[in-house]
Amino acid sequence: MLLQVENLSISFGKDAPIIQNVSFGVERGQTLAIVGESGSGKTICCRALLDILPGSARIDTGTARFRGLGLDIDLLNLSNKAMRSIRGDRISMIFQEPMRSLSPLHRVGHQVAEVLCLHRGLPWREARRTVKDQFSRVGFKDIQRAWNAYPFEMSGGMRQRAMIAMAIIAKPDVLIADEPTTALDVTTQAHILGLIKDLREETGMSVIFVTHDLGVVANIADSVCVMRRGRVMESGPVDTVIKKPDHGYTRKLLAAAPVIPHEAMPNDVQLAEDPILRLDSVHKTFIIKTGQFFGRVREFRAVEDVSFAIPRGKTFAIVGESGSGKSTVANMVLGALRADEGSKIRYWPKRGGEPLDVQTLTGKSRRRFQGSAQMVFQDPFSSLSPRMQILDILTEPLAIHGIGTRKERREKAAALIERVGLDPGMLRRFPHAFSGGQRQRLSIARALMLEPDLLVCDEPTSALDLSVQAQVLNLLEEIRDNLGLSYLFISHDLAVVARVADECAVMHQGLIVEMAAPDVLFTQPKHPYTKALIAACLEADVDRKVNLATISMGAGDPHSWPSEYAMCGTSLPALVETVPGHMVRIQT
Amino acid sequence: MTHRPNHYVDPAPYDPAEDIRTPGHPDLDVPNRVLIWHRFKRYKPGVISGIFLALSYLMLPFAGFIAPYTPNERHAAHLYATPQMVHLFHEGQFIGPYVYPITAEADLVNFRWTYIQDRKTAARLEWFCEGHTYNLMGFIPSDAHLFCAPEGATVFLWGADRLGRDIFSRILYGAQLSLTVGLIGITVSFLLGISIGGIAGYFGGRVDWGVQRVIEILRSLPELPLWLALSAAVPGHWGPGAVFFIISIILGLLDWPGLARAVRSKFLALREEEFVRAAEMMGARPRRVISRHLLPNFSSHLIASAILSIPAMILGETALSFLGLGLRTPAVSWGVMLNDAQNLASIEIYPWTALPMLPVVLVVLAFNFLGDGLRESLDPYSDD
Repeated sequence: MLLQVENLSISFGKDAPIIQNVSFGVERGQTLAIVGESGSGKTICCRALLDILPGSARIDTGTARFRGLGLDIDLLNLSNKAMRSIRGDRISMIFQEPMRSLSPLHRVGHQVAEVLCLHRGLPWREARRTVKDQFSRVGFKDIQRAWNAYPFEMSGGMRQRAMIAMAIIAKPDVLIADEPTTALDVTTQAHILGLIKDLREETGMSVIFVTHDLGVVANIADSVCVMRRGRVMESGPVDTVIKKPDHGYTRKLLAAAPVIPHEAMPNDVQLAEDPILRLDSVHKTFIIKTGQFFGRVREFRAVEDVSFAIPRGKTFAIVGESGSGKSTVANMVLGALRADEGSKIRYWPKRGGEPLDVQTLTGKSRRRFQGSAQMVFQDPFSSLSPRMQILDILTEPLAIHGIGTRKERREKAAALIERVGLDPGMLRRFPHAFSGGQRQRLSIARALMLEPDLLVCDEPTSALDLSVQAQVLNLLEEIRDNLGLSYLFISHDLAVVARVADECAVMHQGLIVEMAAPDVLFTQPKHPYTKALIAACLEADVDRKVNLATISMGAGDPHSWPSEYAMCGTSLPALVETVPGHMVRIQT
Repeated sequence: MTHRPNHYVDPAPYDPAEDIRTPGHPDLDVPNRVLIWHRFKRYKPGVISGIFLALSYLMLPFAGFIAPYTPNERHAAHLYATPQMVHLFHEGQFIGPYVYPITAEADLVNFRWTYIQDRKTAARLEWFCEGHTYNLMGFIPSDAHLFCAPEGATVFLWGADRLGRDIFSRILYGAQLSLTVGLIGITVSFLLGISIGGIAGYFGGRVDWGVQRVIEILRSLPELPLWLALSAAVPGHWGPGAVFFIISIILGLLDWPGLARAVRSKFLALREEEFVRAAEMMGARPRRVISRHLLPNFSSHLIASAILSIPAMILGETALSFLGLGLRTPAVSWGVMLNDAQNLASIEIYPWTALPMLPVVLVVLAFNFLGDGLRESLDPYSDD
């Protein structure tokens, strides 16, 4: 056992221990995954190993025995000097937010070379050469540019690669990875995981991988440790824990993990004869001024040629990675952003009635529209005003539109808060008393106050824990069925979309590349980008492991697509209906 | 525990049905100001400063009662009197607080006044005695004083100045003006700063650009010459009350850019918060968004910024009066008292004339600690 932690207990100040009797261990050359939701204490355990806990933390009991080459020490009892020589050299760590972990004032190459100068005492020239070799190993295409770049000039995936380079350049025995891919896109995540796996096989180092995603665990871990509220619920080899879990919590996590369908259900083609919302050729270009007075003007095409229709009473989902334009579409649908000339967004408030043109709404009709289409936001922590009581937050939509007396508003708020599964006694409390899942429910209740017909959900579950995600999605489905609402659901998670949507559009860099029912999309994808997205989805199933090596070849890169799908150059292929109900952007 | 090797299962009972109807963090479920108070309490200098300032401001209406003399009461026989100590035991016996009477003597070799204490007489202080008349709380005429010296003796706790006026009493009366000039100035600064900064922050674009340029121009003008110029323009025949009011307004007028900048940057940050976007999407008009969403979330920052601006005003008034261009006699403020201490020679010989510096320093420090403590405790959601 290379690193063995026994009976670790940590507490803050005079409070009860946050971490209680945690034990885990990792063998040489193996990967241990520590799984848990927010508040489980997994990050604190890892920080305790390297002695980078916050100042008020105290280690009550426990040992962490590290048996590296020529060493047999207890990490929790080291002097500062000894710990400094271990950090970065024998045990290194990579963090979740690389932007915060890399110094913004130094070039990336210099920061990585610093590790060598500190631990190996290499002269600068040699350090530089080693770093450049390492850069090519971690997959940078333009090594000289990476050496000279500052962290803010790089994308998230590149920064994470730089962090990995910095962590492994001194050839450590153990790499601790604290949720390194949570903030990244699905395809980038697959690249990074493949990289870590390759490096592990090459150098024989052990990896402790902290995550909340069971899909990641199933694909790269050898052993698992499930934590909840500072205690270990279950631990063991990944095959047994994932396939035959014993503890109720592990079973709950596995049940909540969203699943990608592998079989298509019988396809009932729906013609959208009764759409509630229709977009035709919607474009949005942002003009970015670089420089102060006489700077060049650069155009950024956020959304291009987006057309779709949402049938009444159904859920339409838009899937895409960050920067694909999906949030821009949601803002335009609600009228918060104005689309360019030639775009048409039409909204039918009643069945068979006259459509409203969202772009040209003013005054009274605009307020009517705002009452009829509402939004549920992504971040439950900032979408509720922290200075207002829940009652005021919920009744605000009614107050803005001047509906009902105070008593009526309060009754309606109480009714809706019951509907989303919470207690009316919570009305007098403040938002910060509630957990993330509860706040998201409050957000949904607020959106329902004006009795809308269309609900736009902008990634409502991506900031929530897995088990809570499932509950909130259930709630959304139930409300839709009972109240006859239509949803526009934005997400970056294909598995969530598979669960919730009736029809799904995949967006990439502002364009819809494929549109179909989720079952069809997942079982018979046509566009290479969709195929890349699906291939990069990690499932919590040890038998269906993703081949990370092929994914790392870069299927998400537009330049590698076959010519009929190519989007580079001036001509844009049109969205063509290849099979009824399945549209693909392909050159015909 | 199971029979499978290396597989550990936690033996404690586990209940999967978590109760979502109870709040997740009930200890955080209090109004915001209670959360702020909890954090503020931990910052000791802030709490002590707060108590000190509260007591000082509470004392202001009663300054006349506490002071044994009125501010312009001269004692021709006690020019530059030395500070007198209050003793309790005379010749081994406890007879209550008393002072030794002092008599002046001219030292013609060094050209200074020296004072001789009469150590045989114990002049006991009288309590709740009658003295010169003054206006309690500004408008009730009264002549009751907390304590005063008996006939034939004086009680100059902190000495007397060149006209024989008691420095301790003058400092207490001076507090009335010096401490309130900050409040009036801050009100002016507040109103201007919030409205201009709020408009710039909320609307952005050209409005913001214009306001920023104005702020930058105003901030690049040198403060002291501007103050001097503006206060020199005050007509000389105005009474001290009117002059005081105008001085405070001038100080406030020149201080609003700082507050406006703070308001603007906070508005710009708050505008991007999702609850503001949510309100706008629901159809709320800008006025509602500003008053119900932006201002409440910003009010504590405003208070902290305002408190940290008050010392600048107190120092400004002190500087102006020290240079003779702010308040003038018969008005008494700490700056006016320091005007008398401009002479280095007199500070050397009679150091107690520079005593008004002490309350200025203490009050400025107290405001700074209080403002700092408030600012530290403002964000109740951040981790420790």
